[in-house]
Amino acid sequence: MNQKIKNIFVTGAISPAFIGEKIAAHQAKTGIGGHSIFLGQVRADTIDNKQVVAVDYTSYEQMAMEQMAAIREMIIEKYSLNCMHVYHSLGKIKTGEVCLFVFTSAPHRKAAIDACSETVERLKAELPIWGQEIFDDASVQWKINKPA
Amino acid sequence: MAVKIQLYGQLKEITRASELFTEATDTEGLIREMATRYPVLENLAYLIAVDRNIVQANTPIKAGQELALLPPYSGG
Repeated sequence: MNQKIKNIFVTGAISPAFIGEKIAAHQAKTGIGGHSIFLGQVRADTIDNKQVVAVDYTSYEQMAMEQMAAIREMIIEKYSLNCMHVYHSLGKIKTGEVCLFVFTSAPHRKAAIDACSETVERLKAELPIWGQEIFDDASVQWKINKPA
Repeated sequence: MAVKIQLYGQLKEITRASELFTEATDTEGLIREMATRYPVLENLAYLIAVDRNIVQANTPIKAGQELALLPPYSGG
């Protein structure tokens, strides 16, 4: 594989400060006309009267990074993006915290928005990442991704 | 010769291990072996990755390959 393999994983939640820093870092890239950002947040689902309090994420990290590199190369080319950044949390992420940050930048809005959307769908379907929901009574259940 | 299999997600819980060893010579043989050792796997669809690529068709297993069993994904 020729793609540059980037580490997409962050231990713990993705902080608003981290997201802000990434936005600020693009001010020098003046060819960009639009950014699109997707933030995945851990939802407090209620299942059988128990509430989700956190999701514990694990991954087959090397494979996930290689798969993401291939998706990234394909999407950057398809939408002529200036750049794309993807970060996914590992470990226990509490409800309300951000666990996924996808950031696409292009000269015009439509390419940035469509690229962001396609990247989110593909990474949820194709990256070997698993989330285990932790409930308020300390019981656990493996999450299953549903279509958007 | 035994080949190491990495296990992820709920497969780790079912087998109570993060890795196993198999004498299977191809991926269909590995699926049969897993179903015999862990009958509960009949109810869990999982994918097999050889050298970090998903294989669908029956694929020979060779020493030195990186094998992993992957339950349904739930990232994002």
